[in-house]
Amino acid sequence: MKEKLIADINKKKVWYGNELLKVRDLFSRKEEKGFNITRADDKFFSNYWQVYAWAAIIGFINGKRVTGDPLPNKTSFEFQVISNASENIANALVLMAIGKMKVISVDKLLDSRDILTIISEYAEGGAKHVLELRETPGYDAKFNFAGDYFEEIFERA
Amino acid sequence: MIIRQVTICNFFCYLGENKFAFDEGLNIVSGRNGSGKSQFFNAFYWTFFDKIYTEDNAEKKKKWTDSRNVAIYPHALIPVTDPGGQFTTSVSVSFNADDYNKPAYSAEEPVTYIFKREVTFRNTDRGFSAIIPAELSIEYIKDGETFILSRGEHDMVLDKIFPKSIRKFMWYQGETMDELYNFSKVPTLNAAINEISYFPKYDFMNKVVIAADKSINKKIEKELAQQNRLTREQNAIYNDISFLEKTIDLKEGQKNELAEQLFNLEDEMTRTEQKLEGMDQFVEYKVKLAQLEAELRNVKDKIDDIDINTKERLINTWMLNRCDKLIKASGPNLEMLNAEIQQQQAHKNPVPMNLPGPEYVEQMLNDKVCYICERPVEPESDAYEALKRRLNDFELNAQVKLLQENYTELNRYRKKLLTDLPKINEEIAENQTKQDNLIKRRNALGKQINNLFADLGMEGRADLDTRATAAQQNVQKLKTYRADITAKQKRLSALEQELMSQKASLFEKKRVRDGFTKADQSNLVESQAADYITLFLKSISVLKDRAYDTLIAELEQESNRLYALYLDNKQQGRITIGNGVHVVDVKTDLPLIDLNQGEVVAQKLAVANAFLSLSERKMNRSYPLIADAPSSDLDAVNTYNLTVNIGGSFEQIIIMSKDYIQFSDHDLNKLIVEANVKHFYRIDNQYIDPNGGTSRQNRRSIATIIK
Repeated sequence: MKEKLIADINKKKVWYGNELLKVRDLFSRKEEKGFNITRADDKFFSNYWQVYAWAAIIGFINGKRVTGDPLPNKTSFEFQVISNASENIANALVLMAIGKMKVISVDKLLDSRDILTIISEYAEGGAKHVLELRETPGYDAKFNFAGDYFEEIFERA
Repeated sequence: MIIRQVTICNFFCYLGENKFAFDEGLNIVSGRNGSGKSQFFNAFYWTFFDKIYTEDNAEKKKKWTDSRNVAIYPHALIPVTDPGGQFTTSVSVSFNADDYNKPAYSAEEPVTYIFKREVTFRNTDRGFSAIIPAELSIEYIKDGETFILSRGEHDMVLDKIFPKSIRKFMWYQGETMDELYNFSKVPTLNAAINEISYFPKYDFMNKVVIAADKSINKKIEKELAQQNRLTREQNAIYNDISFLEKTIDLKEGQKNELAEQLFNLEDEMTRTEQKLEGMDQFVEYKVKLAQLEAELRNVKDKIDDIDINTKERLINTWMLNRCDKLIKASGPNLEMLNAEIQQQQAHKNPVPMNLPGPEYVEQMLNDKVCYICERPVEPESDAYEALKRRLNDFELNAQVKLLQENYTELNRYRKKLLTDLPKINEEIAENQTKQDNLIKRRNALGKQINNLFADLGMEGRADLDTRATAAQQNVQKLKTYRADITAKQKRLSALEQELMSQKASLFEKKRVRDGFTKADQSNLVESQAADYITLFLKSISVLKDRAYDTLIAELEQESNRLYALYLDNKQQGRITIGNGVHVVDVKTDLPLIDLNQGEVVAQKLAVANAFLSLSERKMNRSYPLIADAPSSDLDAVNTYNLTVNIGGSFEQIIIMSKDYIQFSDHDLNKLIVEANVKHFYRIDNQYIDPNGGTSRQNRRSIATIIK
């Protein structure tokens, strides 16, 4: 390891699975070249990193992790996009991932790709959890409105 | 002047022909609100002046309006008039008054006038409209002969019969009492004195003798000049007198012109103030609205800011709510990292740690010499091995350093997050409260704005803007008038000073002139005549001043008599007339301000009525007093007193009022006797068809003769 962990993670691309892709398209505006807000689109998130981080947090909070997923979407954005937008979110994700690691060596503990993979597995789990929730009768429109996000956050146990 | 009969036909609530007879003395038309009293009053005013006193929808205030802007026909005729059908509305008033042709103050018998205004309405596609504008016809009957006046003579006859300066208190509405002439203003008082008192007669006589004096002295001067009996100095005196007289005449003219301008300006100012009275609320409302709207904008901006900020905070921090435990869970792994760092730092080596760098140690190994102790270092020796280990230490240290940095950084983030995250719920709740309060405020402000428009009875702010602008324009006008008045008053005062000094100078020159005319030319007939004219001049000037003083004293006396009667001798003040009209304390003579409404009304009525009363007594010129709700600002006792006492002051009074319905039949009969009421009518608004509903189309006013 030649570099500090956070710097190393920041340079790496975030990979994510197909459940997250679905959630991303449901709740985030399309990021277009030059600008990322289309006027007709009033989805809650305006950047992909936001929906990724949100799904990951949902995954961590609810203990939902999808392991072994090939995480085929590998070219979306670098982790530093999250760090630049919100250091708190980026650091929290890394620390939560470290908290979930069961390793015996320091080298493994500080493996940036491993950390990113754990975050993405929870993001995939969180995305799946949200999609399942929306399939529950009465919850089909869950997270279609801003209030739902506040409710979920405010009412966490 | 005595009104004899009023015939009202199809006018407002008066359906068909309605006749009212009146006589000298007090006549009363009584009725509840909405019975038709005010329309009875309007019948008079419409006939004579083609105006209706009605509410202006836009300004929510009653005002005099051209009759063509008001539907004066009975609504009851709307359903019964076929399309194309028509009906006529008319009011005719017959009265006895002085012949408008006769010279002033002649003792000829009054003639009978019949004023009739008539208009025909037709039911057209666009509703009821007048076929031609309402037309006035004036007939007068003299010595049994009827004459019809040409339209060109109408205004002149009206002005003669109803002098403009007294119309306001000859025809008045209780509601418009504020609009009565304000006699506290000197020009207003003087205008009334000049138009309806006996004082102008004396003033005129004075002018005549002044002219005679001038004329006779001219003749003397001419005579003396022809006889070459004037010295150069005496000639100069005549020239000076002539110049001074011309200058004084000119300046008197300017003074009168200025006084008239001031009078008009003050009148205009009063009118503007009255206009503003109904409109100043719009300015207040506009200011209030602007404040409310500014606050609303501010609150909305804050709500928008909170909305944006809330979402930003949610995405950037609040999403981590309750993640503390998960972050705390990173502790053991970070401790493992720390342990590794400790372990790697635990290495022992006799070679000091503070060597310059790995190159230095490498040189020592190559040279096989320890540059620290200057001793040879043999390969495989302990010292050689220690140096080799130190070389590795540099690499190891770099790794430990990186590990340490990672540990420190992660630990710092962890600590920060564990401090920040527990506050999220509190922060969200606080944010929510703030937002709720702002939303409540926004709704309350919205309601206040709506209420404000509801109060004004307006749809939107455009209306308010227009009115407020008009009000501001009037405020601006008032400022201009005030500035103009101040400037003119200064000019007037300067003119009066100049006049005073020139009059003194003229007096002095005349004294010199009289000295030499008396000494040298007493044989001249003109000079003897001049002596008599001077005598007239002096005596009539004194007479004129006395007449003025007497008039003021009589006005004061009559005003105070009426004032006391109207207020049942409970008045706290006394009316003084001199430099305008004022009320002073009966005991201390100090001016009284803040009189109650009853006292203000009584004072205005008393002075106005004193003028009319004196005009009638001293000059045999009487005007009927036609008043709608004159007692509306008075209580029952004062109403009773006013009624009992007002009758004695005038040849004829016609009062329309709702204030008599408060009296029992017994009290009313007592009042009719005590006040010597000549005619008492009660007007009731009745349903035409008892089962026809409450619409105006099913109503008419019916008069019942009580006396």
